[in-house]
Amino acid sequence: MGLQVESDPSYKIPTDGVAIFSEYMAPLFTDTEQRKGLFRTISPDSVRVMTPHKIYVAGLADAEGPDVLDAATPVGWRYLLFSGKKKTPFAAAEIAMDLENKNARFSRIVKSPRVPATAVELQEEKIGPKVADDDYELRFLRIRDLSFFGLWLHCYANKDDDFVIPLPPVPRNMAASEKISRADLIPRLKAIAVEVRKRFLRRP
Amino acid sequence: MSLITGLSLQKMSVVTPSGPGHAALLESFKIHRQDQDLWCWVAVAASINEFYTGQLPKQCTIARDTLTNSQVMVNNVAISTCCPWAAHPECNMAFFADLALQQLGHLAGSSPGALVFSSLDVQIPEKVPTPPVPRGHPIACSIVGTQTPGAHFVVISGWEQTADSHQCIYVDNPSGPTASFEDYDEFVHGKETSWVFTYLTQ
Repeated sequence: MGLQVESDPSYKIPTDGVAIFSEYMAPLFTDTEQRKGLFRTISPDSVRVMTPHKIYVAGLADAEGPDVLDAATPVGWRYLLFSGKKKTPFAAAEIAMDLENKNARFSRIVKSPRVPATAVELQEEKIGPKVADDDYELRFLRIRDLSFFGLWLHCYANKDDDFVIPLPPVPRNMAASEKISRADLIPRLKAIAVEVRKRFLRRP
Repeated sequence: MSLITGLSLQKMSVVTPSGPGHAALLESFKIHRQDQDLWCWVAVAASINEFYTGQLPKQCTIARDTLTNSQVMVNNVAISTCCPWAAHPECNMAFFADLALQQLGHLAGSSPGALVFSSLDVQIPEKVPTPPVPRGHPIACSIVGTQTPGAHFVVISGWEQTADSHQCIYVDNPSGPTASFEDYDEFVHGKETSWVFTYLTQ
């Protein structure tokens, strides 16, 4: 048992995912006269990739609705990239997909505090025995309108057992590394959404 | 410490391109994290000011100046100060990066929609100019999601056309902050967001 990644038929990791983004990465490791490579200190031969997780997105209206997790939709896959034996990933690669999990294409490669934070939260010792005892699916939840990003552990057996770990920088009404249940998350995100809605001003 | 069950690491190969491509990147541009949740517009203006002048103004000062000049009222009270930012949540509002850029003297022009990929070279030329001509100009742009009542501001600081004709851009986002290398088409009209307005800088 433990975290499921491939046994659920609806959870099909794209077979060509790594090949798609690896085509784009080479310039990032090399310097030219015009620019230095974003990852020039890393050897491309040392890159390792973690089993990907699905990216789910939601918007402001979803967060204002009855269940933001039910409203979230899958848009692609996220791959953490490591160098050599380092335990901290240096970037995340994302590929975009259609709702039917088809038409995979390169989306972006990202350097952000949320990338190393993801790996920290996924350590066995940190996430605790809950995930090891049930069958969970790891997801990345992105709600740009609220500046909210988190790891969503979806429980196959009972969605009420889902929980979300916010990634830094975390909103004011959450704590870093906090495991927030679905029931608790919904009102907290709703509260942020209400504030955001109030604070979008019209052009003077 | 080990990853939870079900996750593993595998070696991958980075594909070597079939030849040299074309690229330009403003390496001295640095995006700063937005101090408040909705201050992407402030952080973008502050970061662009630093690029041109070497001076990084306080975000709360930019916010105050822009909001007061625009005569923004909160609960019928005019904004008078936003510093220190943590003590002034009333200043945490989504507003307009072009007004902040104009305030700082760095707005060169604006237009609706995205810049076509080939015109990025005009702002950030591949051919490195001879100093004191600036290396190039960061491009501020606003992106919107499908449900957003307003926009999120980010900066494009470079572009890359690989030998295999992949067109990508370097995007600096004050949320995080995040540096990313993105597929141009996905960025312009992706499923999550679209590039809706462009602000040229000076």
